[in-house]
Formats: sequence, structure tokens, C-alpha cells
Amino acid sequence: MAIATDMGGAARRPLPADDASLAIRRDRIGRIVVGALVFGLLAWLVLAAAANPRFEWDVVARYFTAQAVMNGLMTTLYLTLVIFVFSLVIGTLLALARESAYRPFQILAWVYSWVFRSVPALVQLIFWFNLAYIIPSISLGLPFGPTLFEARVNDLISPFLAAVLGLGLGEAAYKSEIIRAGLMSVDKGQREAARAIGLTGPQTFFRIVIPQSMRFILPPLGNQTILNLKGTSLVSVIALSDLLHSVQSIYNRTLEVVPLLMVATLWYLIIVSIMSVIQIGIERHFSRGHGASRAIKAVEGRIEA
Amino acid sequence: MTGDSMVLSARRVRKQFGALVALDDVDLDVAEGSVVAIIGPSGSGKSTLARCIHQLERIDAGAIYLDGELLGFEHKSGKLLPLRDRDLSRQRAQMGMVFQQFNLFSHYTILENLIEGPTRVLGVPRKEAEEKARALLARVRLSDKVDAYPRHLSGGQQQRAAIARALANEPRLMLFDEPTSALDPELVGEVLEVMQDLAAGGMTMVIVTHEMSFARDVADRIVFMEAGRIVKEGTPKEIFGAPPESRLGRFLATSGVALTSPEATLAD
Ligand SMILES: Nc1ncnc2c1ncn2[C@@H]1O[C@H](COP(=O)(O)OP(=O)(O)OP(=O)(O)O)[C@@H](O)[C@H]1O
Ligand SMILES: [Mg+2]
Repeated sequence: MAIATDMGGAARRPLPADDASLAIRRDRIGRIVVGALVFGLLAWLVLAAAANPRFEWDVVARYFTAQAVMNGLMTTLYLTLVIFVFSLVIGTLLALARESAYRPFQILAWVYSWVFRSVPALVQLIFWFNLAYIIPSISLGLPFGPTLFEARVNDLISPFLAAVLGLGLGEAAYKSEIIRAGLMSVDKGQREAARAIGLTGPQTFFRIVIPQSMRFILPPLGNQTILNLKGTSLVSVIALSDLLHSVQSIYNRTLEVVPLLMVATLWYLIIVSIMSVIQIGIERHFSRGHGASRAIKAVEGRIEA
Repeated sequence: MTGDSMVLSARRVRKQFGALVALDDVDLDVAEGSVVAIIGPSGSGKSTLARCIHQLERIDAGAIYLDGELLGFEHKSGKLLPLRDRDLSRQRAQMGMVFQQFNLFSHYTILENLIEGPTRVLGVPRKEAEEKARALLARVRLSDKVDAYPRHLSGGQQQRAAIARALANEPRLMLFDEPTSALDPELVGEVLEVMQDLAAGGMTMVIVTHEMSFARDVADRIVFMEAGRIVKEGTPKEIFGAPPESRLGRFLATSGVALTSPEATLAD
């Protein structure tokens, strides 16, 4: 009753002198002005770049979807994907080893991280590419018995495999730290409650621990993946035709260095943008139960409607 | 010998953390439909006992039986061996555990929290599990919170939901480890009320608690622990009638509630 009369009278009663809506309106106008300035600055930059003849936009346009560039782009994407999966699997195993109660596993994981984080990616890349020089062939067989398998290392280590190993093994060490931090961020009580209702170890890990740690794992994981994408450009030193290497091959011939670098730059920009959008989507999915929930958003939606 | 008439029986249970003996030769019997309260000073091993019963910790010696079935170990080709993860999980699912910190799964709605056990462990079809979960939530008066996330519930509501989750597996035994200790005083009552309803409904319960008046009113038996041992065990009348100069008497005096509350004088 009391509430109903209050609300009914609201329209007729005078607003207080310090009415909050005055400040909020001013705040909104301020944000529109700043937004317009930022947008104007960006537009000016784009127009200036477009007008600069040194960028040779007609050359950019000619090569933007050239077959060689497309092949290079595919190699870059595929390499990034393989490195992502490879390092995620090994990184997860390393994180579990570090967290296990078994001492030798802990030490092994620690030594791995120590080695692969210490050696620069470029050095590792060249090392794997030249592995045949150190170990010419490997063979599997019984001691003093017949050889079951023998191969020349040069045949086994293709440039692509060298790239995956050279960039992926080190990346696994970084991912293990990210995953470990994520696992540690999950409250111990969540694991206990999961065991208490009868979930098995693997069920607890995949249904409770992993989804909850995602909130902490995803932002640095996304960051890391973008770094990896750009990091694949190192493979041009072992003559693997990625995006950068393919534009290099073209400008070595045509000498149109700047526009061809622009081609590569634009493609990197596009891919990173797509990856960022995907990351936002995945992060939103795993923020379930934290921050504003769908339930609350639904309520807010109803109030606005 | 295996305590067939009892829902739960523990025989000479021992648990050590390094050199520290947390449980020392503990015997405990819990009859069908009875409520046993475990009291005692901090560090006396109450939580450890509850966790050992629930197989969240592995005991070092002795044996625990649920409905006559040995918990945590099995005889295999003449040898006694620790159970595998799968079988342990199956045994845990037969008991419900309620924690001090609620521990609801924060990324699941209340309903999802409740159906996780039945669908994943017991293989109940989702629809059926949901129906049962809704009925349970009605029983703890949380029907309006079915689709809410734990974060948006008060402590008392979370604990009631946690009790409902523990009940969802239709356990033979409910274990509570200080279920109201993390709650604001004004929220304690609603949780105790739910537990009292459960007891009245015939649920077999083991409750670790500092709520002396609750133990006195609801428990059939009270167990007093100190330094990893059960020092005294009896009906509420026997326990609260302990001579004030005994160790139990002194513990009760420092816990306050029991000897000074008006109901205590009324009941005697
Ligand atoms: N995981 C563990 N590792 C090492 N020591 C432990 C562990 N859990 C319990 N303890 C020790 O075992 C003893 C009994 O602990 P427990 O938690 O069972 O006591 P409690 O009676 O529940 O106390 P409180 O009333 O404070 O909850 C304590 O000395 C405690 O420090
Ligand atoms: Mg305790």
C-alpha cells in the first residue's frame, strides 16, 4: 500500500535540486564528445595512410589474394593451429605433473620448463631443423637383436615438423604455467564436493575443475595464441612458406617491399581481429555463474522493456 | 562383527597426518534412522572422522562399514587392497556430505548442482533427475531459486541447496561438518530447521556441530571427542549431565549455550 501511493505521487512531487539525472545526462554528453574525437582521429589516420603514395595501394590490392599469399596464409594458420593443440596437450600434462604428489614427475616438469623457457625460439627452430647433423639416424630395435625400425632423421624432420617442435615445445612450458595458475585458482572445496557426490577423478577434472579454471586460463591463453600466430613468422628462416616468407619471396623478385609487407600486415591484423572476437565469445561462455548472469541480464532486459 | 544391524559402523579407526595422530582407535555405531552429534574442541578430529567415513580421506588402520559393506577397501584374491577410484566414487555416492563452506558448484545453477550426481554417477535420466531435484528444492523451500547461480543466494540459502544436493543421490547416511559455522547468526535457524525436518523424516545423520542446543534437541546420541579419541558417548541427557569438573563438563561450560539456555533448565 505505502509503496503504491509513493510511486503514484512521484510525478507530482518536485525534483530535488541535486537531482542525479542532471549529472548523468552531463556524463553521457561527455562520453559522446570523447567518442567522436577518437573516431575522428582514427578516420584521419586511415585517410592519411590511404592517401600516401608510398604504400602503393594498387600493388597491395593486386597481391592481397594472390595464390602464393593465400598458400602462405594457410600455412601460417595451420601451423598456428597445430602448435596450439600440440602445446596445449603437452602443457596440460606438464601442469598435472607439476601438481602431482609424485616427486619425479614434479622434477621432470620443472626441468622441462627450465630448459625450454631458457632457449630462444629462433635457436630452437634452427636446432630442430638441423637435428640430422647431430643425430643422423635413429633406429628402434632389441639390444643385440634385430632392428625393428630405422630412419634417417633428415627424412623424419620436415621443415613443418621442425617448426612445430621449435615453436611448440617452448610454448608448452608457457601454457603449463597458465594452466597451473588456472587449476590453482579453483577452490579446493569444489573438488571435494565433486568427489563427495560420487564423481570420479576424471569427471571432477573435466566437469568441475576445468570449466571453472577457464575463467582464469582463457585471457592469457588468448594472448599467448596471438603471440604464437605472429611468432610463426620466424619459420621463414628455415624456408617454410608461411605468410611472411611468401610475401618476402615476391618482393625479392619485384622489389615492392612496402606494399607487400602491407599485405602481410593486413592479413595478420584480420586474423588477430577474428581471434579476438572468438576469444570474447568463449570467455563469455565460461563466465557462467560469475559476473552478471544470464538470469540477471534477463531481468534487466525485462525492466528495460 | 561387521555391524549388520547398523547403517554405519567404524571399528578401531586410525588416521595419521605425518606424525600427528588425528584419529586414534575410534569406534562408532550409527543405527538406522538415528542422529548422532559429534562435539569436541577444535582440532579434536571431528572433521577428520566425518571425512574418513565419507572416504574423502583414506584411513590408516581399522575398518568402516556402510550397511555391512566394507568402505574404501576390497578383498581380492585373498588380499585386502584399496578400492579403485570408480568403486570409491560409487561408495561415496551412497553418503551425502554437507560442508561448512557449502561448496556449491559455482558454474552451475542450483538445479544443475542437484542433478549432477544422479545423472553422472547413478545414471538417472535427466528429466527424471530434474523432477526429483525440483521436489527436493521445494522441500528446502528454494523453489524460486531453481535457475539461480550459487553466487546470488544468501549463505543460508546456499547451505539449504547444498543439503538438497547431498540428498539428490538418495543417500543412506547424511554427514554434516559444522553446517552452520560459516553463517550469519540470523541465517543459522533456517538451516537447522531443514536438518530437523530431515531427522524427523527418519534420515540417518552424523552431525559435527558447535550448536549445543541443537545437538541436545535433535540428536539421539552425542559423541564427545578430544585429541583424536572418543572420550564420552551417550544420550543428550547423559552428556549434558556431565559433572562440571570433568573434561566434558569444562568443554560444555566454555561452549556456553547448553547449561545456560532456558530450555535446558526446562527439560531437566
Ligand atoms: N590434511 C591435513 N593435513 C595435516 N593435518 C591435518 C589435516 N587435516 C587435519 N589435520 C590435523 O588433524 C587434527 C584434527 O583436525 P580436524 O580438522 O579433524 O579437527 P576438528 O575437530 O574438526 O576441529 P575444528 O573444530 O577446528 O573444525 C588437527 O590437529 C589438524 O591440524
Ligand atoms: Mg572441523
